[in-house]
Amino acid sequence: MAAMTTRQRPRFGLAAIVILCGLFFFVPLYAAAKFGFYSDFKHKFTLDPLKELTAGAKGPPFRTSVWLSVRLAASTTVASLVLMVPTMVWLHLKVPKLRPVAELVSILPYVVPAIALVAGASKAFRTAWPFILVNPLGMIPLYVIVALPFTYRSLDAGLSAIDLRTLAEASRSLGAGWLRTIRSVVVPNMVTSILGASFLTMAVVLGEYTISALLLHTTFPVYLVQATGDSPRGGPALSILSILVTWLLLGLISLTQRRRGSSPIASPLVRKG
Amino acid sequence: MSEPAGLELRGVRKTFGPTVALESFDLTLQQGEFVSLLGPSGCGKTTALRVVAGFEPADSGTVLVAGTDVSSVSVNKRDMGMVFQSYSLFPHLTALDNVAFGLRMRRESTAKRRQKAGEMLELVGLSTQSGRYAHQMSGGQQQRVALARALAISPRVLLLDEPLSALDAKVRVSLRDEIRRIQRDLGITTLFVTHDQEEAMAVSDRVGVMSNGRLEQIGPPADVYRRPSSAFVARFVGTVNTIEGTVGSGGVDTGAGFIPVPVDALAVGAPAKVLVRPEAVLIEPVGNGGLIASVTSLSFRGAVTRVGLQIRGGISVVSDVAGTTAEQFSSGGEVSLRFDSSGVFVEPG
Repeated sequence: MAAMTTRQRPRFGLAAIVILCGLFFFVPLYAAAKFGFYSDFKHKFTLDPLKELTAGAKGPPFRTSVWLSVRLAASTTVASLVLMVPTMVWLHLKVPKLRPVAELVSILPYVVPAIALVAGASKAFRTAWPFILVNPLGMIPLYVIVALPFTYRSLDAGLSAIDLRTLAEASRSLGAGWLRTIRSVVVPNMVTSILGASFLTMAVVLGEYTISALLLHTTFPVYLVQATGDSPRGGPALSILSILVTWLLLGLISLTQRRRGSSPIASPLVRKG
Repeated sequence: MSEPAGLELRGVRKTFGPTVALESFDLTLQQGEFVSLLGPSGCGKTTALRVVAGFEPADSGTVLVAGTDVSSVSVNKRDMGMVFQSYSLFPHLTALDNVAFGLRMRRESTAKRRQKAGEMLELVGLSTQSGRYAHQMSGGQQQRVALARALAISPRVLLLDEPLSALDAKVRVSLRDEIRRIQRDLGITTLFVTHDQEEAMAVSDRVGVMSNGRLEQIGPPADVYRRPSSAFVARFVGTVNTIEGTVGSGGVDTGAGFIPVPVDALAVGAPAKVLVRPEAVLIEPVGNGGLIASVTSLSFRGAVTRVGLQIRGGISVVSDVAGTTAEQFSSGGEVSLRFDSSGVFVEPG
């Protein structure tokens, strides 16, 4: 009986911690959702604040800001992967001793505030290449830096999980060059970590406010803040919606990992031309 | 004009920082020859193989394939098939796709890739496993597919980097015999790296024994075993008994008695070690002359029985006795002992 009690105590303590954390996390979300999606007068679920906000009747156009954020997220993801996958492969194969240094560098964006990054970029490029600051797509390099901690860790985990050296050497001995080896052997064997890096990068870009606000580009988060001033209920409603989309992305990562764990991804080389 | 060697390494030197992995390394494999490099860990055998494959650039020296210098040719253009120690099948591809990979890199047509990959899988006895992924196959099957994949590109040289070391004993024996059969059938020049002397002896045309980045001896397995060029080779290839003594006239005087053995190169009175193969320690019932020894152990090993013996002076030796002869001896009993000079070597003490 005494043994049962000691076994049950930690479980009870753990459950209490989980419940408390859950309440701390979900109550504000619930409050925001209730405020955004429920009418004060009718006490019924309503999408009116959301419609009002996204109709573009007030403030900057909703669609333009969403489209810009989506373009930035997709471009940043592609740029991050094109830059990071070969670099990480090179790091793992050729200079593994530098991995701790690279890891340290990868966390710098955590400690360098976005405002400092913008100030630095502004100072550096304003006279030489002002178009980088004027064009919204000029934010892509800054976003690549901001997403670096996530991209690095996800790709590093993926590369550490495979016998990269042997696979690369086998591929090369069979006639594949480095690019072909990365494309045909390395990438297919780290699909999950690439997807993870992609979704995390997208989540970072879709939620990034400081850089775009300081450079006066109206991305989705900037629009959200501006629109909330005009529509107090629409802002929280849209925030909840964007959080749900982010969770959906993370859920997709989890689902992909599970599917990958149960069956390998087929790549029928023989059938291709 | 004679046919150029299938593979040749001339004066290859390779260092890793202060460590010299290969020093003045020369090796020649004739076309279609199967040569094994044997040696303890860190002797440089894998480095030699990796220099041939192109994974490690040599500091100096040249690598020639069929007379052509390939020292500066990149790995993917060397036309060499390689089977690795660790399982190296591409996890995202089926066995058939793995075998076809090299052909795809060579831009062969789909039909040709499919046909050749199928033939190769049939050659290694895995045609029924063509749709399986690496994680659905045993270690032995994976190495068979890896062999088929290496052979599918019709390489000029086949490189085997301890491909059997991760397999269990039974699979290891059957696969090594299969590798040898296929190599003979295809007549492909093969360099095999292993630390397993039995494996090397069983499959090779010639065996090279390496130590400290140098080739100590190379020759047919029987020659290396019977006529080792140094005490290191004698000790590394097979088992030897070591008996210390002093060089005398026509032999070595040991604590166990006088052992007649050629000692021409050594000065009389100099310390020496007598190295004796277990099968060269001949034992008979007492009364037939020779040294008297007591039996300390009997270990049945199938075709032979290993008999542990103690000679006077506390010297211990082992003898391999073939067939049922050992049954007449028992632990604690006394035997008469002689040495067969064909299995006795002497080195300076």
